Amino acid sequence: MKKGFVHEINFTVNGIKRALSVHSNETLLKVLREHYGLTGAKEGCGGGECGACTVLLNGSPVNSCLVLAVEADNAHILTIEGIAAKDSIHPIQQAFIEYGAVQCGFCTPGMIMTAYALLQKNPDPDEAQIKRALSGNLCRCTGYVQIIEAVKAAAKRMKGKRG
Amino acid sequence: MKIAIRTDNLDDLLKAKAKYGDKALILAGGTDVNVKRNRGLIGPEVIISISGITDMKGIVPEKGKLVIGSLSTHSDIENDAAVKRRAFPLHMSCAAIGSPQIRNTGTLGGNIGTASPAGDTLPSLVLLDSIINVMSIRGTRKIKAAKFFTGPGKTVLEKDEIIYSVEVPLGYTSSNSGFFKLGMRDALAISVLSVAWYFDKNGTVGLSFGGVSPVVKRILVKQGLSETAFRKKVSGIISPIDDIRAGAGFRRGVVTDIAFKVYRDGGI
Repeated sequence: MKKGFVHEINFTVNGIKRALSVHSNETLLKVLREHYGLTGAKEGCGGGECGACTVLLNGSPVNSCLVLAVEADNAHILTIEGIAAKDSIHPIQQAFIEYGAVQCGFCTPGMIMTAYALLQKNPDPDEAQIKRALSGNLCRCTGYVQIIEAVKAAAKRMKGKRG
Repeated sequence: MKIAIRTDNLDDLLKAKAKYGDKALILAGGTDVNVKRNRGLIGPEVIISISGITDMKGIVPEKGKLVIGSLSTHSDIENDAAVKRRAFPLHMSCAAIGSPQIRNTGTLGGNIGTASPAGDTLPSLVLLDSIINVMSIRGTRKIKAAKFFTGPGKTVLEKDEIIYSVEVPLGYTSSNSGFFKLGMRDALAISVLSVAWYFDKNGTVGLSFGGVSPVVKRILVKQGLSETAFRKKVSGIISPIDDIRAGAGFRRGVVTDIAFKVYRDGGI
């Protein structure tokens, strides 16, 4: 049992092992943005309703505004900054650009992380599965059609690559 | 907040709860607690983070029932094959909660402990006569879900007790039972109202209603009632209110319509 306001946590962020002292009430989102400078995840609503802060915790999408940093002890965290190979962008990012799935861009990192988690689990989702997977990410610009098309295109390309 | 405790040990949790009582707020998945905390709506003196307690996770089949650890997430339950096959309303309830992100962190115990009249798992737990196992340093208690909730945010939990697990009876499939949530949209919307139901072999129909009274209400009716008699029965046990999501009259009308459609057609 640990009691107190400062907690030592060990976790992996985008493949790099990290150790950090965090305060009890700091959210994972705040630590990622303000401590590590990973500003891809955004705070939209701060209440778990928009998905702009989505990151993967042990492979599953979560709202990082509702996860305390202490809860990420021993976890693997993946953010938008960690999905691409060096000097390139990820096929999902490429598809979002090509299909016009990005307008203001605020929701985009969360959308892409959720799509990434979906395609890891289900490389060949149908439209209903894509819509359900993305139901926790709100976009106020695109109307979702381009986003769904982009995920479909990315799935196709990633499948092709896996051969 | 004056004290923050984090533990992966059940005994430590029970001791801390015995010491701090209702000054202590338990943090499980955080999908309710952290929303309120981020908005400055709550500031408990003591917060106890319990997400590391593995004893309280997992879904274990026993004779005729499933025992679901209270720290199981809604995703764990939604994706469990036995829940989907044989406790179908609970599968549907968990699938209707929030969003994938919320379901990946929010827990069954949290949904029960929050005791919102609109909590999506509650109609299914009450409908299926689930048992809530609570624990304290004094021992354990088994409480029927139908008796557990006493009002919005209120339960029969004593100050030193925690929700340990839930026993869910089996035998409810997608062909004889179900759950329907009405919200302003499918995802990320708190329920306006919800209905869970089953049809048993002896011609009894069980129905429970969320979001239309301070706590979930359940009725058992025989098949073959007239529409008027059935609607009267439903209307008689609910007491909806006006709130930001819907008016009382809307809730009363729609919940009786949905209930009657289920009763007449076997589903919705």
